[in-house]
Amino acid sequence: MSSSRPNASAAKLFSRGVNWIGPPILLFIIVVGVWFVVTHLHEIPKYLLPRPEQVFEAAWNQKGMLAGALWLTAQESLCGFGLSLVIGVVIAFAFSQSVFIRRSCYPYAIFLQTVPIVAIAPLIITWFGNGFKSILLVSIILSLFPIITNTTTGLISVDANLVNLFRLYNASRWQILLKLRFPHALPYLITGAKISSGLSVIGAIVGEFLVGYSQTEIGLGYLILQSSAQLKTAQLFAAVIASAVLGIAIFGTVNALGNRLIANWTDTPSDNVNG
Amino acid sequence: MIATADSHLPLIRAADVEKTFPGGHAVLAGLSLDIRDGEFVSLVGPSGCGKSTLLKLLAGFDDVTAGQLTIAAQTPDAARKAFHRVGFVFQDANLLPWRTVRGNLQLPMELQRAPAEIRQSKIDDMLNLIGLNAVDAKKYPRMLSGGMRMRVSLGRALITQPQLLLLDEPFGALDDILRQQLNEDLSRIWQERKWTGLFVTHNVSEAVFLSQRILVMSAPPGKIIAEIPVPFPFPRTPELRAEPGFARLTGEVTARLRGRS
Repeated sequence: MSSSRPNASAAKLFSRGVNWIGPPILLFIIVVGVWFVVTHLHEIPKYLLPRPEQVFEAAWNQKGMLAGALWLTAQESLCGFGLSLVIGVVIAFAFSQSVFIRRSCYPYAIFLQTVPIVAIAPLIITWFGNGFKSILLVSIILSLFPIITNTTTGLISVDANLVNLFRLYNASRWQILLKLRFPHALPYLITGAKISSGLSVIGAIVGEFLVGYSQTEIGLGYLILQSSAQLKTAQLFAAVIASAVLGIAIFGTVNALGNRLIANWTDTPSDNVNG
Repeated sequence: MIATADSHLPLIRAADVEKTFPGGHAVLAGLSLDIRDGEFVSLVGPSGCGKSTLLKLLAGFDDVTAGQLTIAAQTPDAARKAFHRVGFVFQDANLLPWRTVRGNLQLPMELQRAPAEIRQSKIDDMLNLIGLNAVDAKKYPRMLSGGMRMRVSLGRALITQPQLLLLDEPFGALDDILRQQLNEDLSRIWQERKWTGLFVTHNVSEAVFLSQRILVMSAPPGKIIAEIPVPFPFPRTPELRAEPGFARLTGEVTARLRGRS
């Protein structure tokens, strides 16, 4: 049955937790170990590959700034992801209602997926200026498409006999959308949201690269750029690791919430990496 | 109940019904039949003869190409919209996987905006009628056996108290024993509730067991080529299947199906 029962004992929960995060932690230790050994056996300049403890030291020394940057980028990513979710579902609702709307608008949705963000960054700055609004927009542009396309697929792939069942009881278009198409599309939407969750973080960081921030407000993207320019490679590593942790945290939350939402009625979550 | 303007008029009347799909593929041609209110009639025929198509036309899922098809002297679409009294049992159980048994049984009442206070008691009655208990009622369709799913599907179709129930090979995917049990239950429920039943199948003994009348359809394009009354009294019990008369009638219907050989 489902992977989460309310009456599961604490010990069970603990052992499941170990099963979940044990393997990735193990791999992390191995990678850091190899990194440690390699950097200690060979004389590698710090600006090329700092030692693990140097990265940790850099992170510790700058922990206030790093935490601030992480928080700012997290806000951008979460807002970008949340808005993509809402906008994407609304657009998919519209797409599901008529083939004509779908045919006319889909090419422009694909534009979102294919547009080189570098090319339109100057335009975004012209319109919205440097800062939060522009970065949010870049994050949305990058993370919107998987939500639209997955949700639309789910909404329109409903079995014809189920639609017939609803028609038998004279269901309105709205009832069919909310009581049939939307629940049917939920697993698809969740798959799209998992992809988008990572893209929203990428969008926020790329957004900071391109449309930037001032010296007073620093996000992870800006920090990465700045550290790289100043050859502060240890700090660069710390910022990259922080952004990875942010991405994993958002993805993990979406994955867990999504799977829980549909656990009762689907046999296997579509791409549950946790087995 | 659907008010029949003239009590001599049948509930369902088909006169020279023709159905041609886009591309010119004729499924039904010159099909005529009458079904009286309260009757249980089975429709048997070779695959592709348009049995299911006829049911879909009656449910108003599709329109006839030519000829007349009426339910209580109205077009199927109008009859359905005016009275909400047509039920349909699909080939596969066709349940909503994200709803429990209870939620699935509630769906038709929700769509028709039935008052909330009558829903629960109707669901309880229906669970009783289809032989499911309170534990089953909380299960999701994927946790149920094929037979149980079919029972829920039947319950969902009956919960709005239809006057006409259209059954499209509902037990086709079940094994023989289960099919026989469900036939017995269906016959009992029909006896209790007295709706008009039109049952599509290609299992002849199932048709004989359930019906008052069997209509045999031709190879496509389908029309009615024989009408065979089933004289056995109700209630019908499993013993009926062992009687010589049952075997004789089954043989007769089968012979008609194979082309009067």
